[in-house]
Amino acid sequence: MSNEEQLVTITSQDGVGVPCKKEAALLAGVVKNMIEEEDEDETNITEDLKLLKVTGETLKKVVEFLEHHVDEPMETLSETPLQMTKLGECVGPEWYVKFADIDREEMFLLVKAANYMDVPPLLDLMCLAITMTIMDKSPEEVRGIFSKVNPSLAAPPQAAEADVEAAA
Amino acid sequence: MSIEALPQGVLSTILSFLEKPKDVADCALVSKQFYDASSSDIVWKAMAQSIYGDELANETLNKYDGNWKAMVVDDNRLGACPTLFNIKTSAWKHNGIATHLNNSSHYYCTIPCIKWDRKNRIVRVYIDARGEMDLRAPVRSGIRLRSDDGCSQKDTSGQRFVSELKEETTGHYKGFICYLESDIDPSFHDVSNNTKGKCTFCYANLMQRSWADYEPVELFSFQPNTSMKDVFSNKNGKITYTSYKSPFTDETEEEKRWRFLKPSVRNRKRPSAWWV
Repeated sequence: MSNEEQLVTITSQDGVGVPCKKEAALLAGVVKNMIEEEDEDETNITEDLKLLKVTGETLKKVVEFLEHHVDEPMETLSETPLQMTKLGECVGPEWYVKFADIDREEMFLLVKAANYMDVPPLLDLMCLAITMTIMDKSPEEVRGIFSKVNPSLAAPPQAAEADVEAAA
Repeated sequence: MSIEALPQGVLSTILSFLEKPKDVADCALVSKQFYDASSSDIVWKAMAQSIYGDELANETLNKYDGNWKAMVVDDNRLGACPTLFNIKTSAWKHNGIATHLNNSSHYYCTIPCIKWDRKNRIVRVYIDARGEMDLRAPVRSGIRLRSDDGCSQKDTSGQRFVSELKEETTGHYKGFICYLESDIDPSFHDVSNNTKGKCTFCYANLMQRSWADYEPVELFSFQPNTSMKDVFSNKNGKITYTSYKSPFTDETEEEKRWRFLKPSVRNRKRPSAWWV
């Protein structure tokens, strides 16, 4: 059986099993490790891929991304930092721009999942999407966006303020 | 879930996509976590490499003891010069006509680039001047800042000429002429207060009067209220940086610079003086 037709099921923290092409699942470092370990034991690889830190909803999005990435890879960024202010100008193809058009809460969950599951392209895409939301914003506005900041932690050292101003 | 729940490495990655140092600075003021994330090398390395180019940034990192942030905060004064590339020629005029037009006599000064050396607060005008044996020395080459309305102007002579030739040859000068930064900065002289203007260079002539016997060439033009930074920025506000190294290492560039001469002149053999 070729890899493309093989399916694996990844199970989320809350017990939701999401089927995924094996080839796509291998893009996620954490799944790849699990599969490779199991291969050594010669057990059935379609079982027991449980991710303890990812919820079912997020996992579905991640799998959607992985499977699409297999068919149509995301174009990597040529240059950082960005010269552009729209996601569409620095990420292609179009599918990924639509994929990233989600609310901020979901973005954070996906970033966290991508970081945990070790999926660099997804991590890049989500980080970029978040970067777009804080670009050209004042500290107060950014604080507003991420409004759960504890005010007592919000005051930065004075020296830092001075040298970052010099940089600007 | 808030952004605080993200691992710090991820937050640094997010900030590393920001283009302007100012944006990163703003984010550093958001919270302690943002401040810590913004101090990460990932952020400043990406910033430095995008401003100065990967190669120049990596090469000059040792001047800042491996500290990327220090490099950006200092705008890499120690390792990077804002540079304007000007492949232009100040040619000797014979009876008022530039010699490359009639090829009667042969004295030319090509200018591959000018570099702003912020460490020493000077501007280096790189020249490659070639001619017959009596080619005059470059140090007295004049620079003129002049507003377009003609109301104000300032003439300046070179301070020093630094040769980059391995041995002295008659009829050939190659190296850079140093001008004080303050002599070239349009905002320093009220030249650019309300009007735009030009900065021109004339080989071996202190003043660019009508009797100057070399063709003046434009080094740059400037808009009202221009700072030195603006002078070295392109239309998109981006500055091209190069290292402090000599620009005279690329032979194909060199050939390109002299291509305007007819082959009969370029390849002319002259005892001891004519070179190309």
